[in-house]
Amino acid sequence: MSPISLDLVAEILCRLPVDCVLCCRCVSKSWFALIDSPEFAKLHLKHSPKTNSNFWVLLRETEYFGYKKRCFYSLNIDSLNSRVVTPNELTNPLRSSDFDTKIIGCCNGLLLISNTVYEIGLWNPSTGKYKKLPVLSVDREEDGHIRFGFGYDVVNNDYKVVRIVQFVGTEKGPLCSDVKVYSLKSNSWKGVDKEFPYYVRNKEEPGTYLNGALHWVVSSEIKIPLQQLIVAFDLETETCRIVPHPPYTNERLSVKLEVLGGCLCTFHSFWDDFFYDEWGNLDRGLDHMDIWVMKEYGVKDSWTKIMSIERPDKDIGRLFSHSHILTVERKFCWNKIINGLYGQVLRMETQRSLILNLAYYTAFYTSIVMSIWEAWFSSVPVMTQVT
Amino acid sequence: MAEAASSTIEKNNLTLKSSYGDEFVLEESIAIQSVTIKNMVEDGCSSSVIPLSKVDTGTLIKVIEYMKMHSSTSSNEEEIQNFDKEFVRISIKTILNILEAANFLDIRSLLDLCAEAVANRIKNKTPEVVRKIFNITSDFTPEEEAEIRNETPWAFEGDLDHSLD
Repeated sequence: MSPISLDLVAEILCRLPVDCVLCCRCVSKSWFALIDSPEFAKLHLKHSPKTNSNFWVLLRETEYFGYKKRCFYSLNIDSLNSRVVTPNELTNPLRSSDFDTKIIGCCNGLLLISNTVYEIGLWNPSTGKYKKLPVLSVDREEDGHIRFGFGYDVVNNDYKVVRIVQFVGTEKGPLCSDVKVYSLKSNSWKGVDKEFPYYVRNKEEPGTYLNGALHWVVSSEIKIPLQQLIVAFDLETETCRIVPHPPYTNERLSVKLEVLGGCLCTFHSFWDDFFYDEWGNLDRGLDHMDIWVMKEYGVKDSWTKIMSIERPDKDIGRLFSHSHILTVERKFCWNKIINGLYGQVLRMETQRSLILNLAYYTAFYTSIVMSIWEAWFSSVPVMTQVT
Repeated sequence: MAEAASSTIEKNNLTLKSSYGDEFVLEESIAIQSVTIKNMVEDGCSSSVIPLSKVDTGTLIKVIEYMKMHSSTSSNEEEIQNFDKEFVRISIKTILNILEAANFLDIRSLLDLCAEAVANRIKNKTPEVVRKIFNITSDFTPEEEAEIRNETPWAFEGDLDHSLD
């Protein structure tokens, strides 16, 4: 029997979990070249929604835990339903003794991570590949608010990072933004000519990627109460537009963007009044939380409330309202995640033996899949032909 | 009336010939699940025997069995699912042969079924075993292979399966 064609090998390998694919890289030179090709990465990405095996929750250890190991962990989506979950420790390529590494964007299984605004990089946790982005200075850093976003420009087949530096109340006016876009293809930053006349509200919130655009909750003017508009920054045209938002009824509300089942989704947290807790710290509780989904992208009337949680538990409140849950990318698992995570947190109350205390981690949902290595790693070792 | 008329029309049959020269007669409506055969029929090649020089007799028998089941109007979805499950309970080598035939005959659903089945069977196998299954001789030097293993050591850890099937 002669070996089967590489096209058919690709058909088979694209259905395997990432680890098995990586294992197959050493089968032969032609398999190695096939697996490392951008075409195969795309094929594998296309098949991943069909195989649960490539969906992971990524967890970041935070200072809440008492000691700063600054590690990342991955958990298979399926294990969220089990009583005891064992996370896999991942090597953080940016690990430093001085800084916590934050995840500031996530798309197609690739993560944008940063220690400081000058030290940011793209990381594929499933393959361990990492690329540091060229350093981009910030003018008058002390005055600016810096926001990031990371996504995929479908038209140009390019991954892009967007950095928005916002100046409020300077001599340039009440609100002024400097937008720069990094392209993985060109491995360089460039400025965006068009205005970005919005104020990105949530400091911690990376842009939410959907349909080739990054989305933020913004205000068009600096006036209390701040508006909660949704802006989309198109990664192909590098221009922004307003997307209709769900109806808001209450001012004491914070809005957070997510993607659920391929739809833009908002988490609304309705807050109580502030009070002083027993330690004298200012605190406030959550009255309730709503989850809305825009079933048809861009259509205002398609916003539908899918869930409401009355007087949520504080841990759940933290998980849902702070910028710690991100990007559930695939339809089939969103239900599981909401139910699974909610269940997990509730179980935690009674199951102290749980290895992983989800509330003390920041959880990022991501489909960790193969990424296009070659496009961004020209230094990937190329095997020399044996002559 | 139209219905009665159509049911009396004699069903068109096609003759498929395997690489071993064995001939199989199959209803055209069943055979055209293969896009390759469908194109041949549309090009007017159906009057004669259709030679399938890349498909051996054993493989062709399996492919025909698959096409018959999948064009049957009397079987429901569950029956078809069960059939598919049983269909790939054969050696990996045989599935690979069917996969190649499905590719040549352009039967997408059969190709997907076989690719899925092979993927399930080679999951967690060692590279050595994968080579044997696919009849491949490694062209890496031991140093080159060690280097690749070093790039992603976790992929080679854990309980890897050394069995051939």
